[in-house]
Amino acid sequence: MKQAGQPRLSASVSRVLHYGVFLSVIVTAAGFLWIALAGGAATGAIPFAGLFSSLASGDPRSVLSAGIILLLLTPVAGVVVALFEFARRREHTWAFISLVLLLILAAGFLAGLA
Amino acid sequence: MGVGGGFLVIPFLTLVLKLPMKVAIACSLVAVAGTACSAAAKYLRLDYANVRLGLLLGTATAAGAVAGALVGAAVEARFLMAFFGLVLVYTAYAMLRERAEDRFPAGKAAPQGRLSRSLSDVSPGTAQGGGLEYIVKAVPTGMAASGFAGLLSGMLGVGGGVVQVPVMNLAMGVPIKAAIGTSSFMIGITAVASSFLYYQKGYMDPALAGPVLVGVLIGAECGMRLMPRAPVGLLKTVFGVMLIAVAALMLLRAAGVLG
Repeated sequence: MKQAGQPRLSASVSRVLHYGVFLSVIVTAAGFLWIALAGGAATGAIPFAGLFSSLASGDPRSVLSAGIILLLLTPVAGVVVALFEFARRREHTWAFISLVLLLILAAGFLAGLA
Repeated sequence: MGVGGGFLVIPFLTLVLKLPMKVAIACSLVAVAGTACSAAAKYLRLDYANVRLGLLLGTATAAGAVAGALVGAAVEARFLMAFFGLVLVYTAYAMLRERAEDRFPAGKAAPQGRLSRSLSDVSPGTAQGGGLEYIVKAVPTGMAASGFAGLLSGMLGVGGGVVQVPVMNLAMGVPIKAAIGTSSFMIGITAVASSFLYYQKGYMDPALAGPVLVGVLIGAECGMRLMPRAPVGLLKTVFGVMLIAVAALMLLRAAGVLG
């Protein structure tokens, strides 16, 4: 039989993924436009730790990096939405599985910092 | 044709643009994440993707991807290139062989355990009309295969769908459209699991990844619109042969025969 609440869960996660990709493409394109107008070099990613300070200092490469990071965070946001939806419906098993997945993704993030 | 961008993007970036293999892998992961999220959004809206199954198997693929990225970042690039060439050969074989559209057996499966029942769902849009109810089975097999798919993704910058879709359909009893939709949902998670590491190690240059992402998204959208009119069988044959040729080039480059 159909999973309880599946249509609403699917619709919520779908919206997050759709708008996440859309937003990341817009921000990435804005970064390229800014770099083209400023006449600077586009190469080189800004590390996570320095991203906010680069954005605050007006480095156009930081907008480019932010666009890519937004894309990388989009599937994570999808899992977060699923976690909250399961928690709301008191489906603790699936909320726990969603949390485990988020922890694994966090481990991947921390592995990059090491 | 249901093939992820990684198998095209990486050969182009390494063989044509002569970029280092690990930079190509990092760019490919961005493209794979973008196309997978875009496709997953559509499949979820159409209610093809099994979110619970995707999350459960996603734990295995994400763990595999993190491990794969750690290995990929550590080993020499030529080994990655050679391994990529071998995986490309398998992908070409999978594309060229004749197979049934859907191996899902008619009728309901035998009663399964609590986990299988909680993963059961109804896949919409069957040829007979109405929904096709299915119960997921062989979950440990699916988890193991997903871990391997994640390892491939993290090491080589591909999505892993070439492993996940057949396993879900043939071993786990998931109808093919639901398997593709669920795989799309998982691939985005898998690509991101290893992407953070490549980004922090400096392999992911947004100046390269950005255009690759936009180009692949546009291409995927065009492909989906052309698909109803395209001779898919002929395209798959041509593409499969092309993949074998590219695999040969990658293997030769890894061996140092090609510059």
